[in-house]
Amino acid sequence: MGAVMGIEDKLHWEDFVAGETLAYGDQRVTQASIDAYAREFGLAPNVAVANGWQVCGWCMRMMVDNFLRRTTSMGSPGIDRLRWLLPVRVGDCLSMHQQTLNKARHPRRRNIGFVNSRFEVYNQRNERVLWMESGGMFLVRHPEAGA
Amino acid sequence: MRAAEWLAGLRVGDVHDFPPVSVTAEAIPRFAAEYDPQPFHLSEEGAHGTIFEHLAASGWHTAALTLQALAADAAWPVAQVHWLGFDALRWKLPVRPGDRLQVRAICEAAGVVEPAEESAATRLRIETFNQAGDLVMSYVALLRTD
Repeated sequence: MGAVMGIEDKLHWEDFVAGETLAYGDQRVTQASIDAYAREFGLAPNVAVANGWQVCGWCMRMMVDNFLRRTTSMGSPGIDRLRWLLPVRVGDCLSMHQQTLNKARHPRRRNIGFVNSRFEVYNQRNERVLWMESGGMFLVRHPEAGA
Repeated sequence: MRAAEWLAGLRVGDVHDFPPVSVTAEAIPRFAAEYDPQPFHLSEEGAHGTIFEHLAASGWHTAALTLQALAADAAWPVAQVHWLGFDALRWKLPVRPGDRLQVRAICEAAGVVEPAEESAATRLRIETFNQAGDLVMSYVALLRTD
């Protein structure tokens, strides 16, 4: 324990299976964090509701801490659809559910594959506050194998 | 002009360019440390050997900088209306230290007040360019006229 994970131990594109699910996260929403984001990006000060884009940032942090760290993540090409369903407020605690939808090889880069996933974000009352469908890029373990 | 009135008055084809925003070498790893601590967003060394090759801003940082531009122009109060969500967000190119971003909004569909459904939302295409004029990010925001 405590040793840095070797790249061979990390999840590669081949390891993702459509339909697999994972739940994680325990992200507290503080006034200090909302204020800092608002200050840095010029948003209205002294509000108790987080801007939706900051909520996206917290989702990303939960993904990295609980999932992407164990993978060969090479970033994301984008988000196909995202919906903000409910306000996220000071004192809320967010968690996530993810499901692998489908995957494909990169059309040009032989060592990269795409994995599309659906993410649902819940507050401490188990109310769904956000969902999105997005792509991730991961290293292919055996690039020479057929696409 | 009040934000709701601005949104209700938008017509298909309306275009607006927002004031530029810049990103510093210090801000990129600082944002990443809080929201997206992956190696290629945290340091130059961490980006070597990845598809980014050099330090690149988190895509959510690019989105936040785009929001900063959208919030900075009272003539188009985009950041003050109700956002249902967005479609087709694409991170096309990395944003690097020192980049100066220019944001453009184009109205693709003018919303109606009723019904209160997604299909009745105003669709605003948001495009973010770097100082070379290359598109780095785009998406279509869904805005409600309520």
